[in-house]
Amino acid sequence: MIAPIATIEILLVEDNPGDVRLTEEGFAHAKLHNRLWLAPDGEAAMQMLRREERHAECPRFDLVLLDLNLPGAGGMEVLREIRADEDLQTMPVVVLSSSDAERDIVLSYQLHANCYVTKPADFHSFVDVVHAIEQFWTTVARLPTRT
Amino acid sequence: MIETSHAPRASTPSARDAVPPPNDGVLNRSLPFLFAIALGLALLPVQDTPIDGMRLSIALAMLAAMFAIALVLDRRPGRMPAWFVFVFPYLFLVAIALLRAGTGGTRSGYAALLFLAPFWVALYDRRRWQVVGVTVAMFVAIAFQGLVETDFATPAPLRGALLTTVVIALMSLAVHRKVGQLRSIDARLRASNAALERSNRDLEQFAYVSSHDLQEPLRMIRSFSQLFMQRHGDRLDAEGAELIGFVTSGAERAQRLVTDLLEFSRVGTSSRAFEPVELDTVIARALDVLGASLEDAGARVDHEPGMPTILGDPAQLERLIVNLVSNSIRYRSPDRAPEVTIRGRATGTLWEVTITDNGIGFDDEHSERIFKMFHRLHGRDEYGGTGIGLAICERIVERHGGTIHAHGEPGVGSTFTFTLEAVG
Repeated sequence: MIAPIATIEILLVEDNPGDVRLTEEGFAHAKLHNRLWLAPDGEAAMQMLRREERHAECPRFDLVLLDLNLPGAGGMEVLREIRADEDLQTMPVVVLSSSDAERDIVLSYQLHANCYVTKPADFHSFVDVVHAIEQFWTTVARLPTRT
Repeated sequence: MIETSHAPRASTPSARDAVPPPNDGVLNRSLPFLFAIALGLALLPVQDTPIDGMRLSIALAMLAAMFAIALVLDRRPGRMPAWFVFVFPYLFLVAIALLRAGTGGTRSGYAALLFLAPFWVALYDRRRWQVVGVTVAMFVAIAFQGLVETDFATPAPLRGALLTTVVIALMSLAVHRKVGQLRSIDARLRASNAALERSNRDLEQFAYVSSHDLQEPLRMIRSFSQLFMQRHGDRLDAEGAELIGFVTSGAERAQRLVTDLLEFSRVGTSSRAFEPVELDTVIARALDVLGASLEDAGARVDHEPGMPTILGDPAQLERLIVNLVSNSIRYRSPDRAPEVTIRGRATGTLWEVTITDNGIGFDDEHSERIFKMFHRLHGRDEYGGTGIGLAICERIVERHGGTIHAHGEPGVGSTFTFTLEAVG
């Protein structure tokens, strides 16, 4: 993880340690002012997003990277809950999934994901994609002001 | 016979749940004729008897009401009470008798209507004794009500009625038997249809799972062997690098197989409706997709516009062209730049599209086998490919109601021809 200055707080919801590692590689390459937080399942993600109980130290996140294939409720449920939560509904959510099934893509956008990205099979492409997401959401796009 | 006609339905409850009960439609089609005959007879030249308006109107009203009830019940066979089909012919007899009394029309005409009653019961697949019962009732009506004129049967009315009854009984039992067979066939078809639909759904589920869950571990293997090479590659000797190379290329190949299989299964399960597609646009888009690999191979593709608009799935048609052209590029000849020609011509109502290349070609004895799943003519190290691409092509063309053929000449090139139906 990178030490924050004007930190962009990113929550990665991902249960596969391999993908966590690959995503970290992508962010390490970028070397921008961002901090990557990890939620291993949907429940933890919602607690961290709402800063509940033992997650009170969590910041207000600027961006959520959401895997769909999670233990328990699954990524779609997390997305649905984020959009139903008045405090969280403006938060940009990037779905980062290994599925390229049409129905996952359609459902994600129906649930108002900000974009859907299929994890590339190739390591270098994966790093490039993470880098592009990071670039776009932290430097190109304007995000709602944190409250 | 009755047992066989009911058994399949009872033994496949799940299939029955999934499929709406069959609409027999027997009455639907036969009723108008029956009633037309009855009314026609009512209007036949009246003999000396004056028309009894009262009886005639009661009879007509009864027939009309029965017609309406039967029509309504026939639409919802599940709600037809069992006794109804059985009682219906008797009500019909009463109406006919009234009709006869009201008009004094010809007797033999009414008797002919009476003969229909056992067939009616037979068509509805009631118990065999019910068919026989109605036939016996018919016999009683004919013999003792004097419904048959003496010149219709033999001089002895009772014997004539008996003879007619036996003939009708045998015929209606034959009908009953046939109806039972048809129903059991129908039930079996419905059951196997439901089973097919289920297995199609399972296949779709399998395709989904493979797209998602199988891809993930393969992606891990591939990504981390690449990362490993990037971080620690310089510390490996030649053999170590070669071994890791096998890991990477194996995972890559498995991944391609999974994607191709997924695509193959999607061609069949896609529920996308066909729409008018301009073939020229599809081909242009496909060549666009192939852009980089065409350039790498130094290939020249000659597509002559003027293809028709056809009814189809644009994404699948694009896949078809991409697969065929990339096939031509993959099996290119080592000693000349690949050239691919795409031509179309009308043959009757069909359009025939031909894709010709100057690649390595193949022996015509393989021209059918190359469309088979996983069938490859060459070693995998020689030319990549999973052996699914042409199987996908065949499936796409077949789904569009066409056929695909290949023709090859070793060392000269290959020609793939498929047909599609043009709109208008």
